[in-house]
Amino acid sequence: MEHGNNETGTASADGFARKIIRVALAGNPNSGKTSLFNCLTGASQKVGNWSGVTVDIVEGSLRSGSCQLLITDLPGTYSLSTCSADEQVARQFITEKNPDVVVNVIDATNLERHLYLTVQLLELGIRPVLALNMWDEVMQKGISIDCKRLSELLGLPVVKTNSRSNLGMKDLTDAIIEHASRKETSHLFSVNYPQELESVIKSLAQMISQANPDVKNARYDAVQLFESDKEVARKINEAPQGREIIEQCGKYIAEIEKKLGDTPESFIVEARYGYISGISRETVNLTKVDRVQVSDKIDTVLTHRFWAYPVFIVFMWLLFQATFKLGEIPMGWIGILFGWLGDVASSHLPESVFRDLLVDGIIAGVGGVIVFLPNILILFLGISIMEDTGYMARAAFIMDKMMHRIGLHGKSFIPMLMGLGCSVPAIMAARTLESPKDRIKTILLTPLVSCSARLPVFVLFAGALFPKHAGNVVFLFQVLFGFGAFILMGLLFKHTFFKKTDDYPFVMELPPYRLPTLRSILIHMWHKTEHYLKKMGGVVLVFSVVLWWAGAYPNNPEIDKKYEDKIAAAEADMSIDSTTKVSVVAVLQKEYQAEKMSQTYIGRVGKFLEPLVTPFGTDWRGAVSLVTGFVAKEVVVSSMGVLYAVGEGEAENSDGLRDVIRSNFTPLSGFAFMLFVLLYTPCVVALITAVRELGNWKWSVFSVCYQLCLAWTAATVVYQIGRIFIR
Amino acid sequence: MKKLSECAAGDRVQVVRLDGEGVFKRRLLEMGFVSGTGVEIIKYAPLKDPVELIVGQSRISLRVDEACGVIVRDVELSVEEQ
Repeated sequence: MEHGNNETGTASADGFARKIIRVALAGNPNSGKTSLFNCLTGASQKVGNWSGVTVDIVEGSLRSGSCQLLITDLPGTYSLSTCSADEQVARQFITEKNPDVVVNVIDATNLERHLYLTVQLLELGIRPVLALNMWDEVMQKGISIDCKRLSELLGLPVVKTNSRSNLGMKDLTDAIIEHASRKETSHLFSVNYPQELESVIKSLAQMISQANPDVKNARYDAVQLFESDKEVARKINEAPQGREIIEQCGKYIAEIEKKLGDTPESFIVEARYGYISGISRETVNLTKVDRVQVSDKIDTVLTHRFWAYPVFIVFMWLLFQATFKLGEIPMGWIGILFGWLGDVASSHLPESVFRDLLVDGIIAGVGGVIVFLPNILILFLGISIMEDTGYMARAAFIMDKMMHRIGLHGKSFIPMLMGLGCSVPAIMAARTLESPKDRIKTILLTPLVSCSARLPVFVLFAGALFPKHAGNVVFLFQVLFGFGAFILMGLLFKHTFFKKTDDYPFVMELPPYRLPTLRSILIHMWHKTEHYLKKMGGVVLVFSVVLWWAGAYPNNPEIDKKYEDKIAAAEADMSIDSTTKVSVVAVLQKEYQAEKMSQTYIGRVGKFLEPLVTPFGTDWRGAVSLVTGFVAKEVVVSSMGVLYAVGEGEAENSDGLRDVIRSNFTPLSGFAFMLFVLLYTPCVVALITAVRELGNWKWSVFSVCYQLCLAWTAATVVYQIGRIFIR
Repeated sequence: MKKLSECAAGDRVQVVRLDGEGVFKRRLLEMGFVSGTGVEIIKYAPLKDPVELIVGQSRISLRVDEACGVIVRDVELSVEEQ
């Protein structure tokens, strides 16, 4: 991200000195900015990040003649008014990183709305190169735009582009290079505001420049203050006489509101649009206007009163099946690969701590990270297709009413549904939500939906304790309770932590349906996957090694010795026949495993936590199993197999384990245990994914704590109340 | 004058002003809901919320309770007034 100073430098990677030009791409969402970026830079991209917020900034480079263009794709924004994290990042990048050239990508079929950002850039003192994108659609729709006149009126270079057919890429690069070499005129652009407003803007600007003569563009700051821009207000407040300026501005705002009947920001935005429509009148000519477009025809089915939902369900079913069922195949290969790697390592290395670390810690840990890749790749392939075609917006459109009831957004439906498969890709799918609040809520709630790894636990317990209704009980936990918890907690959050109504309005664009290009879908998909590997991979690996270590250590030679002696004694015992001998040894082996596990750090933590699990009817063995469940939920079953199997004879097969569960749990305590498994943190990978995606430590801590508290409370309440009725 | 949320699918209206404040008002203004802009109501979602609109040349959707904050008038009326 750091390119050092703002001077243009030289690059000499291949021995030739090249002039470096730093370019930023700015534009509205759906302006085709990212596909233009893909066209320009091809595969030479890397995902950067911006000071901890979950806004991706992608960088790429391009060589042209003697110049090297370093291009940064800023987040898509409708404006630069810092209401959202995206806008803040975009504006900060432009003002603080001082790129040599800003390219403003514009959907030429919707010129007026897209020029709004251009006007804001001009006011900021930036002179962008305009890329009139989607030129093919302009032609199809019969819109004619006089680019020469537009360029004259705005005083900016204008280039026609179409990222779908690579049209205008050379022109755009040339324009960028030429624009970079041109000396900036220190001409300050300003829209003319209504007279009453103009006079107060002038007087406030004067105050600002008097208080601080270093301010470059006092008029801009004054206008921003009238628009209640928090960033500028903060900056002014820190400068000399800041308080007085802000107070004066407040007085002016009240004055204007009294005089003109609306807030200054309305008139400011209106004046900008007025300026734009003047330009549009001179340059745009709508010769034939197709009222009924292809998009409308598609929408007659996809957002139809009745057909919308069956179609949506089919798409969701396909997405789910592809992600998890199709994903199982490569996941199997990955499992085999890492199993083989582990075998190879074990057989070629001498028995040592290092070998155990490599095989059980590192190889298993890397395998645990990679194994999610097929899911994430396929899910994001599907999401990219949905987003790039424009269907995502329609899905949100038809689902919003339901999701909004529990304080979420229409787009939250996809993470919720994917939660049934695996919480990790589901949490990542929350990236499609624009508003940080919606994203946080969705990330907090998604792990409550029961993922497929919890299924083995439910199957075991339901089979053991509710044999007559096993199927129903599994369905109850896997589907009803999971979604039930999602809805209830959603309602709770809506009325507590997220009560404040300074929410983003649901102004969601419904872009026309477009055929996505394979290239942009693949790049999009790869970025998400790269993000997962980079951000999650390392941490998950560390955690896996730590969990492995805690589950394998400390070594207790005394226990090893004790059981070795016991087994040897049993084998040497002449008084019992060989079949009894085998079973005696098997029992001893199991006792050995169980005692070993209870001696490890995880075992000790579990034992230590016993007082916490007794309120819902579980003993220390249950607690240890739950702690090991942090590795992955299905591990709960295998841990129970080890811990409860002591002295019970054949317990390897599930029938045996079922008997063991039956003798150690009552239906009630089993029910409470299942409830706990359903509600607590899914696994360490999901936990880390959530923490990383929340990008804010307060919410991260909260997300971990609330799930544990919720699980404990629910299990305990059910158990304690149940005990009153069931004696 | 009426609220945008009171309009039926197919209506063509013109923005008069926005009720509300903060991020909500800001965002709507930026999306082109400035006074005098033409708005066409395309359709309501199957569950009657949100509503699909064409504002200027943009096709956007808005929740019904948010559309309450947009005060509009019929286009024909404004022609007569002029």
